[in-house]
Amino acid sequence: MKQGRRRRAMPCGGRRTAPGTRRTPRGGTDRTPRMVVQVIVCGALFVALVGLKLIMPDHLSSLRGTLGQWLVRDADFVSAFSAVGRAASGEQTWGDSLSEACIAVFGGEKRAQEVSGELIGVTVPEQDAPEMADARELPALAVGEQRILGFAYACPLSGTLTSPFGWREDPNSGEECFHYGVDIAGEEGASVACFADGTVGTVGESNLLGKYVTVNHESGFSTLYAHCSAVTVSAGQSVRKGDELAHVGSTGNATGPHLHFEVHDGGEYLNPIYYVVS
Amino acid sequence: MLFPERGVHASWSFFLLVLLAAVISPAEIVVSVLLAAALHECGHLLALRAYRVPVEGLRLSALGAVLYARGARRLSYGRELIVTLAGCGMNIFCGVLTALLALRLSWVEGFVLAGAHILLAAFNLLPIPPLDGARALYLIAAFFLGPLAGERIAAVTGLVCSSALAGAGVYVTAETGGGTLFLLASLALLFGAVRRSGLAKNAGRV
Repeated sequence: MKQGRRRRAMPCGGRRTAPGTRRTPRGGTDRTPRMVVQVIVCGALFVALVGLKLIMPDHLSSLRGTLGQWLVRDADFVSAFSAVGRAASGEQTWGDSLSEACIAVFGGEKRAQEVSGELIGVTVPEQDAPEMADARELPALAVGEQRILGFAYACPLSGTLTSPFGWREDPNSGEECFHYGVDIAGEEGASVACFADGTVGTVGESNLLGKYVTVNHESGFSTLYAHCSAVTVSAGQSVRKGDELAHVGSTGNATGPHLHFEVHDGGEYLNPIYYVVS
Repeated sequence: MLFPERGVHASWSFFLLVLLAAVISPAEIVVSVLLAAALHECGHLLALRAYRVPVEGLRLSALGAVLYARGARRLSYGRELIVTLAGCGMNIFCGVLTALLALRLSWVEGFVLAGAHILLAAFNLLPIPPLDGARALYLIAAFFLGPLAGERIAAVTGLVCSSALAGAGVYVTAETGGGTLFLLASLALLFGAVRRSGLAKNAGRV
């Protein structure tokens, strides 16, 4: 029997059920055991998943990756949510935030530029030389040649170069992707130093980059430090060359402690190897 | 007891959705969204309590949460509109407050939580049944034009908006080669709007 709109019990949920779709029995007494069963079954599934993660971490990671790829591809919801939150705080404009959120959710290809590789146990390779790892054509925003920065700078972390700027095979999907920075292996918790004088731009966290910080330098140059275990500076803070910005970690899409370091010239990505090799 | 008559009822879809989200999403996203959803319902609950409307039960499903409050039928259009928008109002208030705190304390996770609040509020304000926006549109239209016209306006707006969203879902998924989550969500909303408009019911009879 169809009832009038104003006479129907009003569901006030965030998302409501369509009218007349399902009638649940009255009284809570017979519902409690059912809910207990639901909680037990889902709890058992959860425990089973945790067990699988402990026993067969690779298999579960693969299942998670497959499900994640099918449903959300490379969508970075942490970044998207964070961008909207920053707009609500007034730290950045809504336009910039929404653009950032859209790129984080739908612009998988651009963000896939940074996916950490198999870093554990890799020793210094020949790629320490400032040549590209691959002779193929560079993506539009990647710059192969060295540019003069015009200010003093220093290597943010002493360590082994484990992945250079250039084309490489995505360790997760197996697809070829461009690595827009360099990876420098370091001890967990080691200090990450500021590349040059400047102002801290963004302190954030995302699925791919983990905890990261950006610093804006003179003449439109900026640097990015990612996968940190902790960031020790705040947005807007003035920093000088060599100041501690963060600690080395393996947050985000990383399989071991390292620093992912990028140098930007406006919207272009420079090869950091020219500026970090002593 | 908070919901003495009907109690709390959670469907399998709710638990499975949370489990799926826990597997594929970062924990902070799952926790932030659940917290924002809980506070959203608290907003509705507080508004109902303010108007002394007894709340009989809470139902959780993959589509969201539903509060059962038969006494709400006694509310005027204006008061019901306030109750309807109270959830989003709570989210916007908590979102801005959390964002300001996050900025002041350099609390990175706070921005994520604030974003969850704002996005949940924005999503719920879409004029697509069964979201709050559709109910609010119905109440406003019904106030000025009568319940029947309000129902029609809300149903047509819901269909148009959900169709546009589903089209955008198809386009974005095809264009970006991205995941199917946005497409599935937009199709679910389209299905909800069709059911609400009665088309699905009529189709079933045929």
